[in-house]
Amino acid sequence: MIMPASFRSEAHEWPGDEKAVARFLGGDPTGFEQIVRHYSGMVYALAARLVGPWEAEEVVQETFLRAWRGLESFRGDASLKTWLYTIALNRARARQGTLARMRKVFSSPRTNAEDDQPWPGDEAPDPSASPEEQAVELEQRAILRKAIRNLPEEFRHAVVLRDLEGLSYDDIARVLNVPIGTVRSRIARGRAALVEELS
Amino acid sequence: MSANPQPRSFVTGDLDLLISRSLDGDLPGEEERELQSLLAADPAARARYEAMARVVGRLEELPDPEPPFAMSTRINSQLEDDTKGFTASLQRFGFYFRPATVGVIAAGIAAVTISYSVMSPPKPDATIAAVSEQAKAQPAAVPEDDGRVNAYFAEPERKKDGPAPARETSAAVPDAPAPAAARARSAAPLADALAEGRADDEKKLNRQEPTLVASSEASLAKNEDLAFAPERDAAFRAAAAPAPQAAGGLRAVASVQVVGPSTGTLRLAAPARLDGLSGPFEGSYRLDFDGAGRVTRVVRLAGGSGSEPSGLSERLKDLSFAPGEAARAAGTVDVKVRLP
Repeated sequence: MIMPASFRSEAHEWPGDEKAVARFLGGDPTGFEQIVRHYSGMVYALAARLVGPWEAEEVVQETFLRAWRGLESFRGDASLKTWLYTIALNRARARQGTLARMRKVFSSPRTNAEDDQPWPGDEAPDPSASPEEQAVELEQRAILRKAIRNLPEEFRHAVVLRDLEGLSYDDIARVLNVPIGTVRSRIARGRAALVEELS
Repeated sequence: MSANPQPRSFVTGDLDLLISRSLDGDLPGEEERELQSLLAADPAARARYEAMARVVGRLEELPDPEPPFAMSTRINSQLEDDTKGFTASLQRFGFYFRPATVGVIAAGIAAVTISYSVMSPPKPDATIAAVSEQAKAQPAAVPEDDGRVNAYFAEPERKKDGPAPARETSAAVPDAPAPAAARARSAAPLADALAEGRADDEKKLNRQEPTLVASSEASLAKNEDLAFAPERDAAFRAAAAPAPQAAGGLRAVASVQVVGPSTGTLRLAAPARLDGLSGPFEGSYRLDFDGAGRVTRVVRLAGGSGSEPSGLSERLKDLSFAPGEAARAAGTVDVKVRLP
């Protein structure tokens, strides 16, 4: 639907990283609103892949709160997306740590139910496919997601950032704060582990 | 040297790394050619390559999770709530305090404040200033049925420079040790009332105590010339120095107090000079005064206790009274003299 120009809010138009940050640092809160609108979906996708869709919104919320507090110190050396991903990854780690401690306290081990059921928003890849083919595809997705979540954390983060988020090796090195050689190694070992898991 | 060199063999980890980098286009040309030679010569390596390529392909095909409805709106609203206030402003400029840190800082400030207030003795100026401020804010009136008006209190061991005018005694208060001066002020009305047997109870007087002092301070502050001011409700009190400690913890002070029917119309124009007179003594006198308020005759009335110190009558003759507008003519007044 084409929206009349008069209905378009400035907050919904993406001016680019630099202008949005400058607007926020200049005292205009719509600058940060634009950042949230533009990046929240991406951050949510990363968070969902790291902690699952049912915890992801909390991670996104915390990520943008931290970003609001720290945007003053954002230097622009990396892209805003990379910077937000760094925060989100740390928040996801913290969230998983909290959940793990809670499970330990309440003696409730993580069940496989979350991995087996389709994620919110999952839809059939090919509407023209038969229901059986669609069911198989959804099952394959669930298996793949489960395999990813069963990876050791350091490999999982590297594989998710590379193969699911499409970040370059350099950006992954920035997000994970490790040398680029370590990134290459972690990605390779993570992929190899997935091959073993899925074969 | 062979024209077709044997491909280098790799351990599994190295091969996986090469395959992974190759899939990402990260291998330099020479290493890529070396890998392709190996894959052509080694079916197992080729199978490994294809398996990893399949997994990467499947990963890339995974759809992005769909964010919940209106998530960004919720986040913006929540941010608006979370980033209000002074703390949020500090955080925006890089001062981030965890709640526990804020609690520790607040507890520290409270501990320092309490320690300071406990360890430091009160300062005289601060005490008097506080009372004066109270007086300005809430001028108080002596109750109508209180006969103890127009009385001056003088210390028994006043300096030889004679009785100071009311405002001078007020100015001298800060020079005295503050707690003692404050105690003298606070105890004076109570001692009067107990001596006269007219105190309803100590609690009532204790409640009045700061009010009376405040009234005096306020009057002194407002009125430069106090000689013939006709205010009936101004209870002049000049407790300039610490008074001797009386039995029971109350401070008794030397005083000349107007009693009888003249209490509402007359008051002393200046504090009585009672320094150097030794007590304990208490007695009542009838004083005749002329049209200017000066005492012309002193007659001791019956009653009282203790022996009259010598020189008291002469001191009483030095008194002068400030009559109210309705009583400017000469007359008679009864006073009660008390020497601790």
